[in-house]
Order: sequence, then structure tokens, then C-alpha cells
Amino acid sequence: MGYEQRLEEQVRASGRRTEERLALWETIVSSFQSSGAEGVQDELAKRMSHLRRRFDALVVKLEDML
Amino acid sequence: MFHLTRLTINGFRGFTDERVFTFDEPVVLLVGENHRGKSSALNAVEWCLFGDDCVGKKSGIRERLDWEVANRQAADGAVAVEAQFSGPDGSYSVRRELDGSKRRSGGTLMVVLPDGTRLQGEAAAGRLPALFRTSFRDFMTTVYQHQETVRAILTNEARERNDAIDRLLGLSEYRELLRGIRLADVEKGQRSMEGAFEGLRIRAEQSIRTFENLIREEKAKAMAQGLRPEEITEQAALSMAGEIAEAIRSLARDLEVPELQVASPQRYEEIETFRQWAKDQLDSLWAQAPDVVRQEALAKKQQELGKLSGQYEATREREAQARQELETFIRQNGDATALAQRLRERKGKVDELDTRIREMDKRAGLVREAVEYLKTAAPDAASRCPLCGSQAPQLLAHLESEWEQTLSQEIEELARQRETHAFQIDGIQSLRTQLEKLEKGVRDAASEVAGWLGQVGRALGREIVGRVDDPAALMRARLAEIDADLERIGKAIEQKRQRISGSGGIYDQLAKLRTIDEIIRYEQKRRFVERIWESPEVAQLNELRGEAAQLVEDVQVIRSSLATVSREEAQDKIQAAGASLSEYFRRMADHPAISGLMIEVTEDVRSGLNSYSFKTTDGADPTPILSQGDFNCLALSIFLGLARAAGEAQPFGFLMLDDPAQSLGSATKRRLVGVLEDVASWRKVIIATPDDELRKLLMANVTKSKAVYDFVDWTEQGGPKVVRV
Repeated sequence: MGYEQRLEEQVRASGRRTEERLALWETIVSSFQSSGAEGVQDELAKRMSHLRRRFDALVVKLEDML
Repeated sequence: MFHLTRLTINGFRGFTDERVFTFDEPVVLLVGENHRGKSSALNAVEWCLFGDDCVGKKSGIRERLDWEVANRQAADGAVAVEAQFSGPDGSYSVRRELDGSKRRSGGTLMVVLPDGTRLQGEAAAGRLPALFRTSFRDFMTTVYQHQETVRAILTNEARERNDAIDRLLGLSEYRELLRGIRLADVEKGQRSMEGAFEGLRIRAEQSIRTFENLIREEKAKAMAQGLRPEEITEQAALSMAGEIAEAIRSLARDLEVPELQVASPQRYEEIETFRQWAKDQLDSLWAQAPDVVRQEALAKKQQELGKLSGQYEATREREAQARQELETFIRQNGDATALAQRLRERKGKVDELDTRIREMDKRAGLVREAVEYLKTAAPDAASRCPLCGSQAPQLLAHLESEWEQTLSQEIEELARQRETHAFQIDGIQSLRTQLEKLEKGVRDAASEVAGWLGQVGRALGREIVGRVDDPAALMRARLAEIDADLERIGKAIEQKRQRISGSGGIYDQLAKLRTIDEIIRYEQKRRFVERIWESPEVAQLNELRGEAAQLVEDVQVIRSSLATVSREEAQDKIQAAGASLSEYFRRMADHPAISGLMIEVTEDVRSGLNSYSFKTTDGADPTPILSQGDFNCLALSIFLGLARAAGEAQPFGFLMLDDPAQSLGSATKRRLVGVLEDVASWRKVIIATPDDELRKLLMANVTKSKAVYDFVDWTEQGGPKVVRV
């Protein structure tokens, strides 16, 4: 059994947010297979960065309101 | 099982021209010095079967990051590797090609089955894993031990050794995945967001405190202004604004500016604009008021006349002074007529003296001639008068005495008198010049005074007649009138000014209105900030925080799962390799203090990676006493142990070892050969080595028949030169 399948079993065993975590895992695997560890880093950083951009825009808006 | 029977390499890495290797003996040796293509020959098998999986980052082998597949010197840059296998149903062929445009990745695949079926491209790529049931990862752990993997374990750094053992066990992917997750550090991103949110919260609190302070200050001001709490409302503010508007209207009427339009604010939002408008209107109103305009005009005239009067008086004074100086001079020296008279007298005297001097000079001339004649005449003639010839014995002496004592003295006296009179003439001339200057000064001053008359007349608005009107008195009279007017107007204006800036005046009312307005606005802003936490923006912010926290949790679960799975797989493999591993290590290393070796794997709490520790069969930690050669034996033991454990389940019936004798001494090499003799009984063994001693030991002590390919040379143009021995 490959590492992908092993980890899927592990994630399912965690019980919560299975679908979301499997989807994230799938994205991580895809990034890894195309660009290795750096691909994983970039993908996760991109996700966090996307949240952060929207977050920062709201913070700026709220600070202007203050 | 599939046994490698033939390998054809063309254009792959160091191979320029086509080379063929047949694996028709139980043991095949690839021997020769370094950098002649031995490892590349083994790599070719790997690449043929697994393509891009064994190249670059995906391979998990750090040395392969910049791996080039295509030979740089090959004619068209194309690569072709074909591996033939004998399998359960006959002969299988796998051929992988890379065209000249690609140096590292890509390529086409062709598989030929025993029945002659040819599969290409996607079909071949799909069939291959099903056929051989081996991933690249498994191939690395149970079929092909890379020299890079052995080299990696020969390190004193625990972290690097753990990495090397993970690679040996085929767990590099877990390691790399965990590394990628660690590098992303999503927790840091979340912490940063929480920090920003906290900053926002603190800013809001500070803002509320600031507004509360401002409200407190303004309310204190309101109390000092006499405002009651019930007056600090929007309605009260509008009412006050209406009163102010009415006061301005009334003032405008009294100031005789009735056309001023005054509008009271109808809504609270108009208060701020009204305040500014009221102030501007008051300024404008005041500037337009007739009394104020008149007052300014009078003040201007007062200033003008004051200055003019001062200048006129100064000019008059200069004239008086000039006259005084002239009179004083005349008293002391006489006027022009007197001076002229005196000058004539002196000149007459001088003329008279000049005449007498001329006469004296004539007499003196005669006497000098007579004296000269007598001095030069004969003694007899010297005592006679040269004119009448009578006897005059003392004539020369008498003439000399006459010249020296009488004539010369008289001439000197006359000259002295003349000089005195001439000196007096110069003095009188000088006085006449002074007199002329003083008279001119008086005329100039009088002219200047006359010149002011025009200016004074224009300033007073009337004609000034010289010698009839007194400009100074006229100006003084006018200034007195202006003073009286200014006093009168000032009193009238002051009364109106009090309505604006006096106690209870319009400015006072405006100040109260400003205070009310400020309090109400600050209270509005404070309420706004307090309610900001109920705004949609904050709700979205909290959503995003939730998403970030969820992402972090999900990543942590995946990371934890990866660590768990990696560790469990390591444990499974070590357990499977188990007894074989320990036995191989014992036989190869033959360490006097280590009778057997066990490997334990735990999780590094910080990184989640596998951490390997070694124990002897009696529970001691042998790491401090393991040499480089011992670690090589360990790497070989793990590989051979895993291969042994795979048994018949392993699809491939051969093992490939690349430079297995790194860091081994002669005795250890002999023991290694002993182990390989056993291995050769259950697997075909392909060994690449530059080590001549190992080669000789293998030739002498491995009882299975052997094929030897000697890599005698390598050139850039031709690639490896290989001879089958």
C-alpha cells in the first residue's frame, strides 16, 4: 500500500472533517508529486496567504472605520 | 519473478553510443575506476522502469535534484534504454525513450509482452505497475541499493543518519512531505492573524477610551460654560442654532446690512456647517458695517495727516535754522555789500604798495650799479661822484651802507605789508563764499516749505495760500476733529461689538453650540466603535480566523498522521527485516562488542520525523562505538534484510548493489563477500564497484558463476568503453 492510501486510512480514523482533510491531503500529494517538499510548502503557504490577504483587507477597512 | 536478462543503453547520462549488457550469470560484476559509467548502467534500469519517478525532487534522493537524463554529446540528444526480463510467461521488454528536446523528464514508454502485444504511451504506463507490482520506493529498498544511500548513512549527524535510514527503508516521501509541511509553517500564519486581530481589538479599546476622555473634557467645559445636561441634546443644539441665527439677523439690521440671508439648520447634521457659516458671516457683517467702514477711513486719514504734519514741521524747522545761521553770519562778518567794500579797500592798498615797491626797486637798482662801478673803478675814481666828478672820499661806503641799511629794509617792510593785505583779501573772499552758501540754504529751505503746501492742501481737501494760511494749524485743527469723530463712532461700535464678543454674545453662544456638538459627535463615535464588533466585517474576520484555525488543525492532523504512518511502516519493515538484519550485521561487522543489532524507531516530537536508535541484543547503545564501516554494514544489512524478508513476494529476482564496499576494511570486505555468497543463493546479484580488492574477493570466493563487465575507460565523445571479461 502506498503512502497515499496509508494516510487516507489514518485521516479517516481521526473522525472529524474527513472529507475536507482528505481533499487537503489530495492537494498536498499532488503538489508533492509535481514539485516535492517545496511544492507542499508553496501550496500550504498559498492557502494561508489567501486567507491572510482577505483578513488583512478587512483589518484595514476596520482600522479606517476606527 | 522477473529476472533482468539484457540491458541496452543509448544516450543515457554518460553513455554516448549504444552499449549492451547481458545478465546471463547468477552474479554480474560491473567493475572499473570511478566516473566510467557503472552506476549509470544501474540507473538506466531504474529509469527504464520508473521514468520521472527516479529523477529530480520526486525521487527523494537529494543527489538527483539536477540530474540530467540525456547525454550531452549524443548526436540528436535522444535517449533510449531497453530492459528485457524473463518472467513467468516468457520474455518481457520495456523500452523508454526521450527525444532530443528534453534533457531531464518526460519520454515515451513501450512494453512488449511475451505474446508479442505491444503497448505504448498511456497503455504501457498503466500496465507496467500492474505487471511488476513494485513502486520506485519499493525498488529502492528491496532491489537497488544506491551508493548515495550508503554514503548518506556514513555521517556523524544523527539527523542526517535518520534521513539516510528513512531512505533505506523507502520512507523518503514521508520525510519530504513532513519537511514541506514544516517549511510552510501554517501555525505562524495563524499566529500572525491572531496578532493582527488582537491589535485591532486593542486599537478599538484605545479608541473608546480616547472618546470617553474627550467627552469628559467637553462636559467639564460645558459645565463651565453654564450648560445643563438636558441642553446637551440634538434638539437643544438645533434650538440654540436658531437663536444664534436670529441674533445675527438682528445684528445685521442694526449694522445696516439688511440684505444678509440667514438660514437656521433644520437637521442636526447641518450644525457643523452652520457653525462655520455663522463665524464667517459675523466677520463679513462686521467688515461691511457703515460705522466700521467710517471708523477705518477716519483712522487712515488720522494716520496720513499725522505723518504729513510731522514732515511739514520738520521742514519749517530746517528753514528757520537756515535763516538763523545767515543772520548770525551777517552780524559777525557783515553782509555782501560790506564784504565787497572791504575787499575793494584791501585791493587798493595792495596796488599802492606794489607801486612803492617798484619805485624802491628802481632806486635799489641804481645804487647797486653805482656800487659795482665804484668797486671796479680805479682807486682815484672810486672817491669821486660818477655823475658830477666832485670829490666824495666815502661814496662807496656810503652807498653800500645806504643799500644794506636803508633800502633793503624799506623794501622788506613794503613786501611784508603787501603780504598782510593779500592774506586779508583771501579771508574776505572765503567769507563771501560762505555767505553765498548760507543764502542758498535759506532759499532751498523756503522752497521745500512751499512744496509741502500742495500736499497739505490735498490732504485737507482745500487750497492753501502761502503767507495767508498756516498749514500746521489747519492740520492740527483737522486732527482734532478726527479724534472727536473716532471717539463718537468707537462708542457706538463698541456697543454692537459687545453683542458679538461680549459676555453672552453671539460668540459665546457659538462656543456653547460647539461644545454641545463635540460631545454629541464623540458619543456617536464611541457608540460606533463599540458596535463595530457587531459589524459584518468583524463577522467575516472571525470566519477567516476560524478557517485559518481549521487549516492549521487539518495540517496538524495530516502531519501527525504522516508521522504515525511513517513510524509504523518503519517498524513493520524493521521487524520484517528483523533477524536477517541482525545476522547480516553481525557477520559483516563482526564487532567484538556487538553480537547482534536491533533498530528502534520513535517519533521526534519537534519535527514528527522518524528517529532511529540502535541497541545491541543485550540492550546497550552501540552508537558511540560504531565506525563508518559499521554504518555501511548496517546499511547493507537493512537492505539485504528487507530483500530477504520480501522473499518470493518480491517481483524482481535480482538485486543491484552500487559500491557496497565504501569505508570497509579488507577483513570486512571478506565477510561481505561471504554474505553475498549466501545472497546469491536466493537472488541474482548485480554489483558495481571500483574496489579492486572487492572484485578479487568476489571472483575468488563467490562460488556462483560470474559475468564481469570491465569499464576500462570513459570519454566525453564515446562514453564508457566496456569489455566483457
